[in-house]
Amino acid sequence: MGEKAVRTKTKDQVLTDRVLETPVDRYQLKFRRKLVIILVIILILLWGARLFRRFLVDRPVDYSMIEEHFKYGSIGSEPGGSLFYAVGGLLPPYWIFKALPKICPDKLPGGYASLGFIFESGRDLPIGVSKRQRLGFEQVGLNCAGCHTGTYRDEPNGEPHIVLGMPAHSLDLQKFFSFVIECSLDERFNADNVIEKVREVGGRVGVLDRFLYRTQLIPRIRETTRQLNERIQILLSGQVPAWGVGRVDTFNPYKAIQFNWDLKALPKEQLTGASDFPSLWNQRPRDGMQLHWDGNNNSVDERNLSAALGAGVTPVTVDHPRLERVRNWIWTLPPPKYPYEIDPVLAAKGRDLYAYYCGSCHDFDGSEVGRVEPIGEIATDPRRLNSYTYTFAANQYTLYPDSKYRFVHFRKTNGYANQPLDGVWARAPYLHNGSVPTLRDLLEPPERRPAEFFRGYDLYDRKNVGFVSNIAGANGQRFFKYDTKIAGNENRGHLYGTKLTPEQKDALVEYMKTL
Amino acid sequence: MNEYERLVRWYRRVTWFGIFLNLLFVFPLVFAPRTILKLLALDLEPVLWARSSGTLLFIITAFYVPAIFNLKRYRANAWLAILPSRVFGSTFFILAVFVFGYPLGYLPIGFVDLTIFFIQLLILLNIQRMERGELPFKKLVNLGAIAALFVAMTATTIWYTGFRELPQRLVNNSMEEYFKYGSIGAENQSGLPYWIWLVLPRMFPDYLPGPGGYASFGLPWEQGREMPIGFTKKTIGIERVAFNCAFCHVAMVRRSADDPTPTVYLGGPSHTFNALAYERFLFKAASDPRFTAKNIMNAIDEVAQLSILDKALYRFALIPITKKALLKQKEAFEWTNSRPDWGPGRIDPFNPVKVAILQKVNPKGGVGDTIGNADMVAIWNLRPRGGMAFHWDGLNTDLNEVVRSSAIGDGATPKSISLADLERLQNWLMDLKPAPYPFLDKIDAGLAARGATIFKQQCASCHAFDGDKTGKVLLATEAGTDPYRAQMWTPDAAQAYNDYSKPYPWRFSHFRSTGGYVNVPLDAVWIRAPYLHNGSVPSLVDLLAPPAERPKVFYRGYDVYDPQRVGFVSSGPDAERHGFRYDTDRPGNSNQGHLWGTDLPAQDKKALIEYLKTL
Repeated sequence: MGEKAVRTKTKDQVLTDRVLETPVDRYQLKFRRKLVIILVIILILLWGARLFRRFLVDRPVDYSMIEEHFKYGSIGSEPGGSLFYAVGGLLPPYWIFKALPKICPDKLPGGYASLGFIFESGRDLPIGVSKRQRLGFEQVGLNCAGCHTGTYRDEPNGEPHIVLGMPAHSLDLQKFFSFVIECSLDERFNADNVIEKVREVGGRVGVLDRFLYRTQLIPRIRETTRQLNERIQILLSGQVPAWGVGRVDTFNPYKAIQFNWDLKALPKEQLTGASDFPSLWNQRPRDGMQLHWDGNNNSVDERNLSAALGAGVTPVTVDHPRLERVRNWIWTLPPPKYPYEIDPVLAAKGRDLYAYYCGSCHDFDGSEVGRVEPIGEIATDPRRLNSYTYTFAANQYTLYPDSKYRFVHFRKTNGYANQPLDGVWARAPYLHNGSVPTLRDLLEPPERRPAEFFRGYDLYDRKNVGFVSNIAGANGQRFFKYDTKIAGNENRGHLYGTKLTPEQKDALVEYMKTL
Repeated sequence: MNEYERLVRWYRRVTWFGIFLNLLFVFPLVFAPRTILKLLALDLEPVLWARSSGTLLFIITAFYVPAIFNLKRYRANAWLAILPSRVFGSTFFILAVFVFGYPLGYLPIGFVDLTIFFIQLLILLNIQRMERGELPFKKLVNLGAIAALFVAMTATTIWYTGFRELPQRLVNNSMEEYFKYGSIGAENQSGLPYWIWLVLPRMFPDYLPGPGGYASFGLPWEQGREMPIGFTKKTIGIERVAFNCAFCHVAMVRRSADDPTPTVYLGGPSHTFNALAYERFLFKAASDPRFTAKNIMNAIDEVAQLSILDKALYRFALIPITKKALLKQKEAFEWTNSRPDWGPGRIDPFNPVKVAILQKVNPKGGVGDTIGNADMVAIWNLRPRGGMAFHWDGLNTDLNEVVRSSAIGDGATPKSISLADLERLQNWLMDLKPAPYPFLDKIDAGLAARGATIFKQQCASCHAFDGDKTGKVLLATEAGTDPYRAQMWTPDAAQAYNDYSKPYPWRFSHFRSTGGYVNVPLDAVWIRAPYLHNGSVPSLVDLLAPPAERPKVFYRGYDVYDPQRVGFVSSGPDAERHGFRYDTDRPGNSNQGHLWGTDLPAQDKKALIEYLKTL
């Protein structure tokens, strides 16, 4: 007899036997116990799977339309690496990024739009900012479209037209980085305030999140920002000429961020490298040409991967397949057609002039196109050229180490590359440093080109071909005053066509609208 | 419980454990393939195949189960689990790694299979013996076999990660390529693990001569190469970085400050390269409190995705070992701190040998108070140099010995030294052409012809290839040049080196102490600036001036050529920024002596120099 029995006395002192457990009872009890244990295990597993999903998953927000992918898709520039050591990325996570202008309202009263970022209706992030789940948070990063999407408008009160692949001629990237860095180091960037502002902009901060914000995220952001600031502060603190809108110093932040060069030890003239964002369309015929303003690379793919570093990817966090999607698209992306009327007679006259004076250097089939014109010949501002050095090229060969992506095409040159002029109407201001506002001005000798003008307005100037550049502000936006006397901003050189008659110049410009 | 039941129970346990280990692969492979592939740094796209492998593994694993519940009845299952299944798995992955060179990440899979296979087999054999009525193996035999397996696996892993030598893969098979990037056997002793080498300049930019990573040491770096000329990468266990002859024997020259890229002359003296600064950079980094496994791993994580195994190897073995080795090396270089710096283009080639090698033979030897700082030399055109004395002081007359001892100076060990390769190299250097003067089109032929006559009268007996004194040693007192380098190589040191090499088949016998300097032939003398053995005179124009008029202080290490003075630009802001301040007052740096030609009339000097450019 296996069952347990208990002998007790009733109130009347009568002894009774009561069987407490039958075999069925015992079986049921055992079964229930097992059930509980199994349930607990399942719960733990589910919870573990959720945590695993949250913290280990690397999931970009994807778009099936390539244009959407270009504008908002990830190329891997969000912070990645491992939970123990995050690498890459220049921006804080999505919610904090959104809350940042509220955390430091005095530093950016107009929000991100005031820096020249383009917001489409129904979107809370500007063009050029992607979203991706990494390291347990929704992160944001920059993609190609940030610097390579521009706008133009027909009338002062008209709506801007967005052109993908066009230089972001209104974007102040330097101010953007300054803002993100300064605000992340500001004393207002503390857990309580950040959480409060994240909630204000609609973010949900749960118990676990609050804990993570306080102990992990915010200290980490502050620390990585501090290190980043230490490296590139000299470029952001007014010690070098301002980049202004539509320009970036490609290689100096690169020296500091990728290689931890001590920029302070470099000669000042090598720290002035600001130049215009280029257009991204029509890359196929460009492969093999000397790319970048100084022609330091002749591989489109390597140039892309190098530019991606500038957006914040690292050899570890880069998303090759998604970058390749962009690459395949810009390979054949056609340049935008000139949106206004063209005088066919005048343009026909200009065509001959163009063929005679410009074609050999600027036509896709020109004999000199895509080659480097020695600085002595072209005689434009040499700073951008000098900011890229032999030593720097040497360091670049160690990027993407031990992989098929390792850089091998970079080299130091001695001039600026002759660019093909497809869609040139949308690529104003002109010359590598954007020192000449319109095509018509470029055909004037340097002393008659505007010595000072404003960059950043997207109202199109159909007469001179370029953007309106004599207005200091419009639509609540202040434009960047461009002073050609400042080092790196000089508007000299490229004297080709400056000796034509005014009528010839008009004809030439009319023709160039058709390119 | 009897022995038989005990064995069956053990069989169950081991099989369960094997199933558990399999599931450790199955679940990640099926549900999070990218995560585990990344962790092991395995490349498998599309991940469908990872998922399918995981599923297949799961199915195979299911067939292990019946034998657990009834080993007697499902004996066939038990054997199948061993014979095709585990045996195949272990053989497949172990061969993949060891024979076919697949990444280390596959090895754990092979080792899991091997371990389970081996123990299961052992238990089953015991069981079968008992069923046949025999006694099982002795406990000691069983445990010993398992221990042997683990020892074997550990040993293979250590061999694989520390000693397995793979032939270098150079871009092509030319001698030029080998000279620039080929191993001379220095990786065993002085090879730095590649990833550590790669991140050090990013971690310790404050210890570099300037911004620019390794290029800041004045090393020529060809387009598209992952390391400068003179650096070699070879797998001995892990990828290691060491250097070869080109480290000190490649010259880079820019024709003018506007020249975007320097021209590289193989075999020329590395007048821009600061070898001591490179060594000191490594020492300072290793001594720095930031040189920790964690920091270095973080820096590596920023540039590459290593497998968890490689990470463990770096973190727990390579980084501590490297640190220790560098600190030891630092001690061996301690003597350099009490002497004038070498500066770019110079090296004290034999004092390190005294410390590293000769003290083993002659413990009292050491460096003493000697200073051996001297210019790196050109090593081309060796055929017409046959029979001449080599090195500035002519301490050896046998070219084989010179080449081999230089390799040993670079870190090759008597065992690792690649004699065949060195011989190939030596043969190539025999007829390597000296660098032609880059401004030959601007030579004044008439003037040069006049200079040739002057050369014949004034210089040829010591400096023409057929001069009767060329290649012979001139006493330092007679030359009047700085005596330190000649005094550095003492008779004791020479004897010790000859003794040291006795046990080896390539033994040295020609080392000697001379007390003077060799009269060197002047092929491509234009690129061998600064002049005299210690590089104390920046240009030929200065060398033909009386010592009192030679620059007392100048800057060396800038790569822009000055065709007027015939030498590298050695003054002015650019030279100061790129160069090393050379003070002729420091010991070993004297610019006195070699008065020949200093009293020629100015016109003759001009003609002579014009001719010297053409050599």
